[in-house]
Amino acid sequence: MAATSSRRSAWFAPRTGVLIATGLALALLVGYLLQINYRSALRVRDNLLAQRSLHVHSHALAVGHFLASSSEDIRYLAESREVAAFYESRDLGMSMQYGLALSLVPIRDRMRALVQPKGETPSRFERVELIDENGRVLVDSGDGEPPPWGDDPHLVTSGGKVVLTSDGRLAIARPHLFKGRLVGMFVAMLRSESVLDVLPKAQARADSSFVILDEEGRRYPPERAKASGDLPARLVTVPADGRMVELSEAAPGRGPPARFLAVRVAIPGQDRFSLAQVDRATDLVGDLSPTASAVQLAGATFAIILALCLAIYLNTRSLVLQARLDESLRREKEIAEKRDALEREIAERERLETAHAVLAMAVDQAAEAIAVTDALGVLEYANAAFEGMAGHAQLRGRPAADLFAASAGEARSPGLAQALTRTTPWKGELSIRSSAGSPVDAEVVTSPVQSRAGAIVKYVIVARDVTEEKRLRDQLRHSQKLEAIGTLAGGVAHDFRNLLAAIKANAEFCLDGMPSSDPSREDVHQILEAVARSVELTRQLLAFGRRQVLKPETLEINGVVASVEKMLRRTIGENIELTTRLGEDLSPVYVDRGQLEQVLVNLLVNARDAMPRGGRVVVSTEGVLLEEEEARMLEAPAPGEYVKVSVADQGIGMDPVTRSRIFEPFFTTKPQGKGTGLGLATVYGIVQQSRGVINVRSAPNEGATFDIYLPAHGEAPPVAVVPAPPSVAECRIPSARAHETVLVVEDEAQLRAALQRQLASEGYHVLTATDGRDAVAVLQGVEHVELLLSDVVMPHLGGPELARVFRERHPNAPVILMTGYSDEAVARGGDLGPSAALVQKPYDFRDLAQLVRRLLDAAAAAAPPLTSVA
Amino acid sequence: MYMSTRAVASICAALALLLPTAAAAGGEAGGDLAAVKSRGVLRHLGIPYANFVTGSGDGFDVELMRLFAARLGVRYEFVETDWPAVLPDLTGRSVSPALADLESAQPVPIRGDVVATGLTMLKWRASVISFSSVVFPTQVWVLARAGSPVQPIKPSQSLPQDIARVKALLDAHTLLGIAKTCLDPTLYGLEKTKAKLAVRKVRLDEIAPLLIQGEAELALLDVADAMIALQKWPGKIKVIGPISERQEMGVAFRKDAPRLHEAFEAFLAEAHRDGTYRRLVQKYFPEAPVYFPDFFTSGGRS
Repeated sequence: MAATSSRRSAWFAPRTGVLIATGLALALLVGYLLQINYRSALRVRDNLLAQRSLHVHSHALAVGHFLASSSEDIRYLAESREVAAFYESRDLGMSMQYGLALSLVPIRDRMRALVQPKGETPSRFERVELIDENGRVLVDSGDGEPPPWGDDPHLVTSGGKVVLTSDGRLAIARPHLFKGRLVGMFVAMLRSESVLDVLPKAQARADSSFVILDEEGRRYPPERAKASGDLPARLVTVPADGRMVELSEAAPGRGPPARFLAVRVAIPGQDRFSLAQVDRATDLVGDLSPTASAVQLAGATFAIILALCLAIYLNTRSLVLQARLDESLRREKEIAEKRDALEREIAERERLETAHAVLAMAVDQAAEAIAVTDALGVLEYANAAFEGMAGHAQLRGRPAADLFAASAGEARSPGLAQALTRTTPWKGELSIRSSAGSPVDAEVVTSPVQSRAGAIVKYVIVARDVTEEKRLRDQLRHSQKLEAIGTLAGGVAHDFRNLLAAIKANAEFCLDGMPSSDPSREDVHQILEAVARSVELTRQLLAFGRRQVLKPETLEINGVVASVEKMLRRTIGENIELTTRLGEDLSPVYVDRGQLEQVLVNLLVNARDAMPRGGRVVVSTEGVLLEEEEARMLEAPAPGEYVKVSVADQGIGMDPVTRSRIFEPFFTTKPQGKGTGLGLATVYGIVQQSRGVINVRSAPNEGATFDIYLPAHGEAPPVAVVPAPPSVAECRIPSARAHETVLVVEDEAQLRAALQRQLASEGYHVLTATDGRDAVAVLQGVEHVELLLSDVVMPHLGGPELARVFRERHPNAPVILMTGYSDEAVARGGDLGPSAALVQKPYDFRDLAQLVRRLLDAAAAAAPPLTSVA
Repeated sequence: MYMSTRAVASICAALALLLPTAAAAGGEAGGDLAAVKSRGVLRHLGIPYANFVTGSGDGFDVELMRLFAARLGVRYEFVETDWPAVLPDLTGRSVSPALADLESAQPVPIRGDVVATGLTMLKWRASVISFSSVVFPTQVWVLARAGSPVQPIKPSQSLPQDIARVKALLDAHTLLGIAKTCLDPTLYGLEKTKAKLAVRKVRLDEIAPLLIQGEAELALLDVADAMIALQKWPGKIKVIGPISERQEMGVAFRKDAPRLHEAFEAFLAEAHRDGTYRRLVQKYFPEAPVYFPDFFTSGGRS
């Protein structure tokens, strides 16, 4: 500030000097200019006065012309024919009443034409009258009472000239003579506006007045004279020759006398009138005295010095104010910058607080369980999901590892305890034991949080409940295992049946060829019995593998239970009590009655074996509605209405491991030789094939309950249930001649050979092929084949496909398909017509031979008689 | 004379009441309003006379009839006639003052529907035609040449007295008039005076020149023509004084044309109300209100 003041002082001193010097110079210049101006004003005044004199002359000429022209108008009127007619008629003695008054009408019209001319011609006259020699108005241009002009002495004595009336108006009075006698006078009053129009408007100002003066000094117009102020009374003394005369007149009070400049010029043609222009001398040329100039010089110099002082003062004040203003603006700018920075900081804090709040809210409400521990693994924070998973609301201060266990029974999770000492993230699956006691499987991820110095200060634990996921995974794994076992069992049973068929065919062939006394016949019978047991075994395996033949029908399940109740009682023995609790109003089910009965028998046998010392078995039925969640838990095909059949025993029960394997074929807890291990597997397969589901509830020493859920009718199973083909036993017909050609197609060589030998022994001409493609080749080599006997499942070309090829060549020839399964022929063969049959392996050859014979006979009966084959 | 006019007006009023009945009984005649509208033209019978019909295509009555035709929505047509034929041209009968009887008069062609030509409402005329309300006032004066020894009378306050004075001045002087017009000396009983009546068949505007030329010492002339003559020949003629009461002019209709008559009355009343009538008077007879101030200040109702 001090430096700024000194700078201003340094700048101020020379500037003030310059201002003072400039002021003095200006004062001198002003004095010089005033002097020049004074001299110029004198010359201008002289010129102006000379010019003014010329103006007054020219305007006097215009006024004279106007007055003369107006007088001419009145002369024309007076000398008009209408006026002459009137006076002629009057001179003839006509009365006003009879004719003379009518003669005045045209005169009146002419007068009115003067006062109110047509078009835009301005009227010069205000009123026109004709006055008779007695001063009475004969005719008047106006309406109403005419003015008493006849009494105006100025008019009477005018002698036909323009006069100024007693009331100060310009008028033309023209005496009218008829036959040398004065008979009247025309009086025309000039309109004041028209007179003023003659005078130049630019000069018609209050400070510069034209006035018309008559010889008596009376002025016209009166209002102009009044406006010009104190016109000197001696104006009439000014010579009317156009010279400028200065007049002075004492002002009222003690003021200086007023000075006037006047010019007077006689109006041409009007010897009574003159035109004068009067101006105040100060208005026209100002005060031109040298003393006044000196005073003006002093005043101007003083004003300049005063202005300079004022400028210096204002300049100094302006500088101080400017400096204060600059300082104020600088401070204001600094404050504004600080305010902006503060607002930005507040905004950033608010943004961070908002983000933090959002983050905290997100963590708090996250579905994942999230917790934060200190560096020692002690919980500092746990979100709601973590608290829910742990079953505790107050976890702060507890070691996190105490909440987790690697496996059931461990109070502390060594894995998590170790993870909370690592410097790297860790991921694993642990079981957390909630306060409710139920273990929860969780996938846990721990992440160390490091300080800027690299030290671990926190651990973040994120846990996800995978209990249900794990259960479903185990369930899927179990189902896939049973499915794989079923597939394996079905495949083994199929191949085993082919072998059994070959064994049985050969054994029967041997038996047929042996005499009745042959002691080896008993051995062959033993072989056939073993084959029969093996066939039963394979049937159960097929049942487990859901490959057996079903004959579903709509059944009332309570009726099935009731019908087998007696047989069941016999099955379980007398030391076990059988109780049935049948529900009411159950929906029907669509199942194979025999298979359902088989299921009940197997479950009762299982219960009986679980209660060696007796007990009670309860068979109950009820209708249930499985919701989606429940259906998913039970692995039911779909939610909906089911009929539940339960078999509950009071046996020894099962541990979880045993419970998870009981449906596996050949798994048994019974002593060696007591069970095949296929009973519950068969039950499982039948229920599954019937679109049902089975569930077992059991615990050691708490008995076991098997619940079977069968879909209520209306939800018929779409697949896996096939009608049984006609059995070979139903085709028994008397043996007849056998001479036809039969094509046997079987990929199992032993069975193919046995069939060829047996059919040949019946008299047939037997052709063989190893598979479908070989059979097609055989067919192309022979002309006629009466019957096709083919396996279903063969490499290259299956039985059903071969049958269609065969039918193209032999449309009416019968086809017999043989299968180790149940549904393959129908599923893959399609509709082969009435002359087709399906035979399950192993078959009884006698039955097969009769079926062959019956189909051939039927085909022969339906075929048209052969005439010739060319 | 004044009383006679009142009587004529009474007769006309009576006829006006009776004629519509007759027209209704006998059906509308050929000259009534319906016929005019049917023909689409209003035929105006007129005689060049003063400023009523100037002969130059205009005039007070010409302009009045043009406006009337426009009011009716028909075309205007001027049919020029003369004083002897004007009523026969309207009535279709050769009526005259001597034979003012429609039944007895000889039929002649009808040439017009209406007469408007400064027609004075004389008694005999009112017996054969229907006059409208008074359209214009008039009076008949006696004029003399400027050099005539007969001097204008000094008006008294009594019109009959002034008329008597005028009549007294006529002795032994030739008086010019026009028969069958308002200037017919017999209309004013001048045949009973010692004046030498010189009745000529001339136009009205020929009276003043004939007077100046010395055809007669005196002449009858109506006010309108006298006004024009005084302007044309100032100092040549002079007005001696009145010979008639104030007369009235009207528009003439056939007696069997009451609807047309009514339509004109309505039109005339409207013209008075809207200023049309005053405008026409100022245009063609500006001096008339000076001489007949009572008529024009009363709205044309004398």
